[in-house]
Amino acid sequence: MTSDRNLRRCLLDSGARLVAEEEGAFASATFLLAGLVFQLTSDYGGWRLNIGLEGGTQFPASFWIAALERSEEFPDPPVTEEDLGRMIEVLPRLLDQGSALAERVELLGQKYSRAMKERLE
Amino acid sequence: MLAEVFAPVEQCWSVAPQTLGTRFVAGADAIVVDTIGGSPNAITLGRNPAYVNAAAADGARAFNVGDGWKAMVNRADRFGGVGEGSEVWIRNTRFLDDAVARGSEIRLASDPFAPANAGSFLLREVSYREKVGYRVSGNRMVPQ
Repeated sequence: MTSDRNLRRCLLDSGARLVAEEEGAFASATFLLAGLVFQLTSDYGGWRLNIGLEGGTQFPASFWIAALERSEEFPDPPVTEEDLGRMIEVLPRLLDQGSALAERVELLGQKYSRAMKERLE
Repeated sequence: MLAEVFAPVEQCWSVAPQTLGTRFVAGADAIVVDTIGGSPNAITLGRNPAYVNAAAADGARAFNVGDGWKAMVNRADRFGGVGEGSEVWIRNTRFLDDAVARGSEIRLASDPFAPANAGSFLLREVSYREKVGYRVSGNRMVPQ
């Protein structure tokens, strides 16, 4: 089973609700679970996962994993093929600590945005 | 070069794209060119569906291969996948190069600095242009 299928199964088994799904070159699937929005999206078939508080900003899964690990720096690269599998491993911890991690994730996001602006502006 | 290596785009489509009434035509170089509305000399980059919607609204061009993406990505030869040497990426970068050659304005429908867009094709496109002397300025990319 592919990693996106594994993650979907893991989310649904944890009680997530699938609230939106699109197919095509830019497919997506959005799940709600424990006050968090899990958004799987694909660019031409390769899947990535963003997570955010319901109604809040979305961040790559790796940012949440970094926050769980108490990292002070944003992940580089911020998106890898291993992210979905890593998220499956830490999902119970994420669900336990979800909203409490949001502030740290936000700080990592701010650092990322500043770094990208320095590079691209 | 592309016409020699890749099938004409019409042969890549299994189903004609129907999104938003867009009109798909093949350029002289066999690149997919999605022209929408009056086609000002501008292209729009961004995450889907933001860039498609923005292009539909303002008439800019947008790279969109419709359902042809599956045949491109699933190629069994060295042009498969989405890596640097893939057909999808080669067509994408050619679209960007052609736009610059035409002097097209490069519009951004999504925020390239947002963490949610990290690692996306949008970032690849923006980084590609950045490497050849463009920078982000507001919701545009402009020559440095």
